[in-house]
Amino acid sequence: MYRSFLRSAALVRPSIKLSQQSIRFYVTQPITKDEVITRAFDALKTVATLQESKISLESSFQKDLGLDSLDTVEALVALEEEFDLEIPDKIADEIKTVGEAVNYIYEEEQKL
Amino acid sequence: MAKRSGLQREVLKLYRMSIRCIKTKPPQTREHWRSFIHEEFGKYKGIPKIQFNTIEHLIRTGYKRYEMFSNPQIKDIH
Amino acid sequence: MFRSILRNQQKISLRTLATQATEKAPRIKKFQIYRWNPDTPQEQPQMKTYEIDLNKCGPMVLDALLKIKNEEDATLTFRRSCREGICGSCAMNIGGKNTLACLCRIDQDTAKETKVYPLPHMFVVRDLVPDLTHFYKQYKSIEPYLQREDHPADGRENLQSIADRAKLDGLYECILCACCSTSCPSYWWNQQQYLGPAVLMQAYRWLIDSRDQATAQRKAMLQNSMSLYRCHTIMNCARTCPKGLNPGKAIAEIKKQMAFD
Repeated sequence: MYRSFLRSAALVRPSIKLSQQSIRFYVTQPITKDEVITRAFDALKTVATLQESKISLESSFQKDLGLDSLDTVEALVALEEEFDLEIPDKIADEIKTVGEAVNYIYEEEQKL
Repeated sequence: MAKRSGLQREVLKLYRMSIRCIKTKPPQTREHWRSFIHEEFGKYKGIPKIQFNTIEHLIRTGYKRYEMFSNPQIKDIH
Repeated sequence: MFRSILRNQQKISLRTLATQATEKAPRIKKFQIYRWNPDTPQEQPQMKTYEIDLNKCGPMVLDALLKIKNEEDATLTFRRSCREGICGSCAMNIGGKNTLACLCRIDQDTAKETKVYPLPHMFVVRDLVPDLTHFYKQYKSIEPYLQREDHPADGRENLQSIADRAKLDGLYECILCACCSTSCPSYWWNQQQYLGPAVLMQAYRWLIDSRDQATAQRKAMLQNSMSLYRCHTIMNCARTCPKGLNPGKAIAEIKKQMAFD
């Protein structure tokens, strides 16, 4: 009985999937750290003041990349837009390096 | 770097709100908004950080203008 | 005959001489006025001194301000409108007291300087112009209009007895110049939460209006530690009111009513 129910469920399922394309029945693969890093670097490249800079995880926004505090805010907002999240002010004020930003985003992505 | 004062954090907060607000504007005008914000904040970069009353005033008027410009009906700026 | 005409002419010419002789020596009075320009926020506010000949100026401080603006410094900025104390625009701090420039006589003692500041403890827009946005927001928050469930039977007016109308005397005359609120130390320190004397007096005016039916809601709105009870009967409000009203008493009446609820 139970088995047949399962089977019928398995039969029914594809048809649901076909009729309702927008609903996803699967879980997205958790984002890997490498992916976060590449996407973050790409997003940072779009910031005007960072286009020419060499970005690495260790680089500090202000010391190595030569940004002022306002530019740092702008870089972080660029990251927020890329990953579609909002970094709270308190945490954003503490972030000093690219690596710290990447770590924060990675942890947030795991929570989803 | 020395720890930021409350007033400096306030400035950053306003700046962050302004930059985030760019996203709500039509794509073709976003660069105008960005340069507008840069220009407005850039005007007062040289103010010494002990001029509290000046900075407080600028933050206050900044919020007022933010409220005005964040209205979705305002689409472009020059 | 001819002589008499001559004599008459002499008389006429004498008269013109007499009028010239009545010209008084100028009485120069110094005004120190607070100046601040938002276009150059880096510059600190400063007091600027202007000299006025009182013989060539009207009697009120507003006349002096207008004379300065017309003849000496056109950049001096202040609000003014009715020049007779009914609009409340020209509220400012003159000689240490909040009052209306149009109702305040110039101190005739030319040895003393008169200092003119914007209303204290308000954000300044420019020179003598304070930012009253928050004050007006607070006024709006007390819903200063008649609230009724039903309409008058004859479809025209909500009637009121003469005795009920008399209760509003001393309250309705308020012109919301903000002199009282900005003279209140309690309002200085808790501007964000405490409503201040001017607004509370209007709250009382609507509480006791016999035609208004929202009394319970109005009282409920004031029933917290900040809105009303920050009044510590300092009574600067009654002392400074340019219209001679007593907001402190109105606040006391609200407290009394709420105590009996």
